[in-house]
Amino acid sequence: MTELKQIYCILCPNACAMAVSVDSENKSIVTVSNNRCNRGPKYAAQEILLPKRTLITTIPIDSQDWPVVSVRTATAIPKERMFDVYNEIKRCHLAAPVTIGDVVIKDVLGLGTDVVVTRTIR
Amino acid sequence: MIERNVDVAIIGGGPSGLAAAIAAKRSGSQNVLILERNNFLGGILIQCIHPGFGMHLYQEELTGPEFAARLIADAAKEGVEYLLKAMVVDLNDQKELIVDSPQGLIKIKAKAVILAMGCRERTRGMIGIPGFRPAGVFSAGTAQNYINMQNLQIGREAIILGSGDIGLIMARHLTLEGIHVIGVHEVLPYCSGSIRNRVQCLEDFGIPLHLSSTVTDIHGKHRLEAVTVAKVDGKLQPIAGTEQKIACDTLLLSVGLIPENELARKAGVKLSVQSKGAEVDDHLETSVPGIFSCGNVLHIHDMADYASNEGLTAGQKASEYASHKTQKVQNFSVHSGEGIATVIPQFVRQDTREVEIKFRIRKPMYDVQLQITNRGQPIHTRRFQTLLHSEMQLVKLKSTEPLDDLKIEIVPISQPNAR
Ligand code: SF4
Repeated sequence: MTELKQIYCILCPNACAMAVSVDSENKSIVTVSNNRCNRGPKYAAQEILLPKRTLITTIPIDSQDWPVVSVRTATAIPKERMFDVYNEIKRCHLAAPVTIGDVVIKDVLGLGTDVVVTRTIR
Repeated sequence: MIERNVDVAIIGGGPSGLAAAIAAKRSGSQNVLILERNNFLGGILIQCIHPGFGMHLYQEELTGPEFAARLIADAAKEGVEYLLKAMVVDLNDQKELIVDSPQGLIKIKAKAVILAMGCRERTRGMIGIPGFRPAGVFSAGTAQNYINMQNLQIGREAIILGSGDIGLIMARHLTLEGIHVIGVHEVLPYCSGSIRNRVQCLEDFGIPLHLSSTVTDIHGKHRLEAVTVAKVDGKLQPIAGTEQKIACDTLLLSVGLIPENELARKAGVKLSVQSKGAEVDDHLETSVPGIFSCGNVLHIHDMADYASNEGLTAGQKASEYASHKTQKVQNFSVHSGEGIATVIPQFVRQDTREVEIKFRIRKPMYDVQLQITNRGQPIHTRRFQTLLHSEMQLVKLKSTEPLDDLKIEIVPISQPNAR
């Protein structure tokens, strides 16, 4: 069975409204149209098989200046694991100084990506 | 009072001011000074902890604080100077600034000034929602600051009014932080934010978007207890009988941004009725010689990257002005026709043959053609299946003749030669 779907590519602000036909048995893409560049079809394939997003939040920090520091997953994680990772991050507590890029959690929940600090706080 | 002379003074250390400083230095100016009223550089970027920044400038998707850190590092490398907690309280057309700083009042005489103060959010008062004034009603940016920078819990059950990008981003963020977002209400019949944000902020989390719907009343004396929402008609007026009372303890307003131009006014800079920012030529020079403007204080941008890009231009041109490589010259209006809400620059300098035009339309349009003429001759056309009001459009024009009579308009495709 092929199923027709509209998927917006959200990799850049063009937000191409792609027409995607999907083989619903093995979750693979048959055709993609309406994409303005070749990153679109790759994104569509990912979106059908395993949609991923970057997770961002803050972690409390002991510092003179700020009560929290912002963090992110270094790369996108599966969308369905977002709240699991969020809860994992919220168990952390940091102390200043921290530097942008510092790893807070290595390989979070075995998903193959780190949680890193996005702001330097002295 | 301390007195100082600088080549280029930049008011505001956000994405456009930092970029302007970097460019001014790279263009050869010696003394480039950023005046920032906050106690940190980076402006609004620091509280925008989500990704979506830096794709244009650094070809990488960064979060706001990461993007700011790159700009700050670049500025430091170039030897840009800055003052924090430095509030510019006066600016005149001689490019003299009075700055209230921790060292006391400073009088600065600049060869060129760049306005990069950014914008502020429209408030409840400005959109005239009646009712009590309980706690729990926030502008979206204030809520973002409370959560991302102050670590405050702002509420439990939220309604968001306005589907601008900040409203959509906050809908996602509240949800992640455990605050239930009941729905987003937009008075217009279409979403005001980008498609990208609609998909990844609302649809990802199943947050409903109610179009042609607005908040008509606020209930609760000390803390917000409920809001009344109602459908609106074609004139954006609430329709009687459609009111619905929704219990909530938090209302976020994402109802537009306004350039913060008090200082520009003091210096006698001419402001545009449409963009609410300065009127500028293609060097981003305002009506006052040697005063330049860029970023959200000039016009509201969808993306910080664009504001920074504009800062780069302003920085370079201000630096050239400061070293007498350029001066104020006669300029010509860019005429905006049918469908155009704002256009930047409003003027083109007499010697200009290459220009970057940014414009925004009034409302979404389908199957239309952008038509730009110079001296009555078409010099650029482009067809659009969809043209959204939520997205600033950018066109680069180049001609062998001076671009001294530009007209920009949107026409339906069915009448291609209409003029
Ligand atoms: S397909 Fe290419 S151009 Fe279109 S939104 Fe995706 S990345 Fe951007």
